[in-house]
Amino acid sequence: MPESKKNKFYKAILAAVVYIFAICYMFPVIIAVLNSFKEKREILISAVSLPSSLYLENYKTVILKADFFKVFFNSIALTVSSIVLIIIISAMAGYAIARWRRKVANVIMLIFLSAMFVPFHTVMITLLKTAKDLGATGNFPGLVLIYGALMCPTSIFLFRGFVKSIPIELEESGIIDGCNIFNLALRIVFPLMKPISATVAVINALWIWNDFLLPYLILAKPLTIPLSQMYFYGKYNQQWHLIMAGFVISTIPIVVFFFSMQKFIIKGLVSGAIKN
Amino acid sequence: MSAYSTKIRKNDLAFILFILPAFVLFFLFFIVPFIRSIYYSFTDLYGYNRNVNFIGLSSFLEAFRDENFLTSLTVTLKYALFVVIIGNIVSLALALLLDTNIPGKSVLRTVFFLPNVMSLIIVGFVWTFIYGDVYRSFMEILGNPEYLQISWLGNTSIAIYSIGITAIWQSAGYAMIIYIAGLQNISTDIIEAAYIDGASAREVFFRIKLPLISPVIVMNVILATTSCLKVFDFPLAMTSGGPGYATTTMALYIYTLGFNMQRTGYATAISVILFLIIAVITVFLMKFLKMREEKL
Repeated sequence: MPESKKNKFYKAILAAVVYIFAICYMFPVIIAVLNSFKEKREILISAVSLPSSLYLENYKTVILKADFFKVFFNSIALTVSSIVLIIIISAMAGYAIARWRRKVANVIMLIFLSAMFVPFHTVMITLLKTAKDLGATGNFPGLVLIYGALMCPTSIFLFRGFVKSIPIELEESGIIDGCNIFNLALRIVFPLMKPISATVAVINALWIWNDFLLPYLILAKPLTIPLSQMYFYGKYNQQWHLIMAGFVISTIPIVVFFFSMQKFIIKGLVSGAIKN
Repeated sequence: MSAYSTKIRKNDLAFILFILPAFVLFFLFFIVPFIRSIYYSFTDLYGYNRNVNFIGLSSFLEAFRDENFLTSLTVTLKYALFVVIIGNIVSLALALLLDTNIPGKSVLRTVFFLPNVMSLIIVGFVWTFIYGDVYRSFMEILGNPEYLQISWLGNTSIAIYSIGITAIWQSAGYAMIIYIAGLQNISTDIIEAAYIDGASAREVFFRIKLPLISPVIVMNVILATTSCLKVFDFPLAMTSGGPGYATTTMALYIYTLGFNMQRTGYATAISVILFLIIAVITVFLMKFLKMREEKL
């Protein structure tokens, strides 16, 4: 049939266009990787040529000068501890708001949700002042607590929605078996929360890992990956061979994380976005 | 409602204890700073000076006479319009292409989504390099034609759009994923029925797919608009707000005023204006979303 032949041809052209576009889309990443293997003078000659050899000196410089491994572990510790805190406080609050039969529960939810209208930059200056007053600046525990405060509204909302979808009969049977409310939460409700906790973890992990401004204000030292790259950039201005090596080495961990949990991350982001 | 659950669901003390940790943190690090911001916006607070005078709405009036603020406002709005419109068109086009049975579509999805997991600051550095040395190397290959001599980040009228292109590159994959989820929610029966009735691919898109995913479009527009109005990392990494104030977005201007110039009172006033702009736009878009949903 000529119709379907034409259709097939059309589809093949379309696929080719998409593939070419995809390759162009990766161009910035390809350019960064290529130039990370060049010496400075090689980039000056051309920034779009292939590297003449596998020159690894740039990576060595970045790892040593930016103290990469220390910074990397700081970022991991910061992200993991913030997420653990966010999950614990949000799961508790989300459960309580979903089950508490008082009007005040909805009011509390609204107070938390109103934060979503407020841009970070509106509280940025006074948050730094308040954090200083409370001794929460210049250290990781302070930063973790602030992440807990700023990231909990969305997470509480997600946990609350999840708890509302659990049939209350489960908890009622727990009460008949003699559980008090703390046992009820701990033994019956929280174990059911694993999937929603994973969603909350994924949404927050990418954000905290890549966040620049809050750690920049609170820590004021190059202690996480984005911060250390910013300082490094300021120090080695125009030394693109080093900056590109910095890009590659600091992007690898998050890309590996993404590939290992791809399905999960995309599901989490979609459900997070839709519920918002 | 059984007596058991009524009893437990009015156990006020237990529920207060559950909510307390989150609420205390939220109160200390969000509500307190927010109230302080609003309070300071009516004062002339300078740096950490203890001598504070209440000056009413003076800072807000000053803002609308401050040329740099007005520049930052227009720059931010231009950037938001550009990124929201072009970005959503790109994302929707990609989603439509990848919602078909094109071979290797999961690889393609990954390619387009990947920039989204990268740090904005570091992505900004890479694009600064691309707009500078890489572009220059390309021009050399082409023999430096006059009409292609573009200073992407140095020209005051195009620098903000260059940053916008970077932002689209970084964020298009995210909206694409949400669009794909929306398209997959459309039942295939409807689309097959339309094709059997002789509808063309264009008709199926404009008459069926587009109306059915319009709530998703509005949602993506809301998400993109609020994040664009807050843009900070890209201009900081790529131009530091320059040349002049050509890429100083509102968020960057608040930062400069508050931390570099120590004009705390004035900076908080501008941050309150930013809050009001975002709140009004979000509420308006949400109302619009509700209206559309009621119509359908």
